[in-house]
Amino acid sequence: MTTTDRVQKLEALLERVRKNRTAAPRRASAAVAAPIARDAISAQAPPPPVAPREPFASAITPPSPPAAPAPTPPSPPTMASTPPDVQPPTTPGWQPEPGSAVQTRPATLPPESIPAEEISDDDLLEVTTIPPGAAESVPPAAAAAPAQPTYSEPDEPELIVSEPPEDEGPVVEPPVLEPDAMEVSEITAVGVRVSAATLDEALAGAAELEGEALEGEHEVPIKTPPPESGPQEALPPTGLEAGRTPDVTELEADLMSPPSMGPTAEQLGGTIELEAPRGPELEIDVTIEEPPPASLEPAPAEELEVALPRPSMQSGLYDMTAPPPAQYPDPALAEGPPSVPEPREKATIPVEVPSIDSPARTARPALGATDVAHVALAPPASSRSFVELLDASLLA
Amino acid sequence: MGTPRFDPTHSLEFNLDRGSVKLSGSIERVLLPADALAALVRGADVETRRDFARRLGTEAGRRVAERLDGNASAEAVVEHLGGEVALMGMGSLGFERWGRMLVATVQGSPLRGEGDEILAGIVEGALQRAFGRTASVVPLQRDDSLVRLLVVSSSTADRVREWLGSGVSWGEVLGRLNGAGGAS
Repeated sequence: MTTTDRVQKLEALLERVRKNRTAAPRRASAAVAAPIARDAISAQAPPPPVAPREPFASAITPPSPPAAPAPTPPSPPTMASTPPDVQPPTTPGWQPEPGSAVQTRPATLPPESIPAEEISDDDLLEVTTIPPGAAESVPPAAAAAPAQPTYSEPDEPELIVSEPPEDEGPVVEPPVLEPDAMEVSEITAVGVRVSAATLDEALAGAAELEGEALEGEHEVPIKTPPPESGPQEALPPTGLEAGRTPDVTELEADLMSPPSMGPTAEQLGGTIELEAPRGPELEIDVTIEEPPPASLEPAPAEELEVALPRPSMQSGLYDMTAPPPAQYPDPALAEGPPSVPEPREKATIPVEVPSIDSPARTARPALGATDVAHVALAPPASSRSFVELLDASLLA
Repeated sequence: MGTPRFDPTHSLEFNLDRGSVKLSGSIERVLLPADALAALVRGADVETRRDFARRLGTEAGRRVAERLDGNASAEAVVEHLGGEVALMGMGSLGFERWGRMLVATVQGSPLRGEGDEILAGIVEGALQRAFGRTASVVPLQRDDSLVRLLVVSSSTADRVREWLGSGVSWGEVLGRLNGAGGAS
């Protein structure tokens, strides 16, 4: 896009903002409006068929149908090219202003004649979709800022605000808004941005408002919805931040994919298939070369090695009585003051020492004279005479 | 009074002028070769040999009785009687006690085995003449140089000869004699 085109776009945008300047303040209330009551919605005419909400609604509203020509032909087809005669299905008390760019979401898809690539980044800056919950997430300070004319309270309420019942306390029921109602605030932001007098101010204001809008969109609802409200879906960011948001659909697809059985084709992109070996088969020589016997001579010391001192004795021990080597002199010990024992108190303890003259002895009782030893004499070998022996032998 | 020692001094007298040999003043003696005497004894009958041996023993007993009385110890008897046997040249006499049994031993008899009955007769004659006891001496056991002679009564001598003839060892004979004596 050239600078000229960009300037033309901005000029067209400025023109539209100027047209909407009168009606824009009433749109600002939608940004800070409370959830729309269902009664009010039901009271109006039956809305056109609304396309089901997609989980990741595009931040870009489809271009208007060809039946709604843009007021400024040179401007690119944008969402703001809604003809003023189109009656949006809003509340009965609210009427779109003639110069307002607010339009309803087309019930049908845009014709294919309009290429989708015509939607540029500038269009993204111009139209920003604020989710229904963002209405509550707007900081109170921003909502109550009266200095901004675009955020001033509307003269007459265009949307019926139904306060939550008191018994429910801070719990806010999720609003059910029509898609058209959501886009009311979008255009309102654009109107604020173009309220500047010059083009530069308009650009600066548009950038600020874009940032504020993005901040408001990313904020989480302050009030926690009740459990009975069911699971809440966090809407994805829109605008410039949408590009940095990961595609959850793809991530889910990755998670749901079957376990990988190996590297993917992308991972194998740089794989080089090796050719089969050609030539004679090679055999590994398993011969183990025994290292030469270590010589008894010590190996030369390397630079960072320090050779330990050799034992001073043949037995491998160190002679402790030998003086230390020259490279290890005796440590110089600081001589401290001589220790002087402190005087102690002396006391004499009386001890009873027995006298040596009269030792106490225990004597064994005296025994009378008695024959301690008893000697049995052997009888004579043959007291009998030879005749007796002869007679004894004869009587046998 | 103590037992006198056996003194063989001048017991054997050779009179070379007269050509006679006398033993302690007794009748003359004849010096004969032992093998000749053995041959003579071997040719004599049992009673001749027994008389011959008894006469030799009676002469020795008479000389022992002249020096010893009835209370002489065994040692004294061995000394004197043994001395007299030695003067005859019949070997060295001794005594053994196997329990109650009295066994006389003769060592180095020149007659060897053929002269055991002669020795037994000499002991019988000496005991009879010296101590007045009639005893029967039976050759019990013999080896190369020693012969054991059992001194028993005449009745016991017959049983011992019967036992020894039946093959009973001399130790068994001594056992039986000691057992029988103790039992009786």
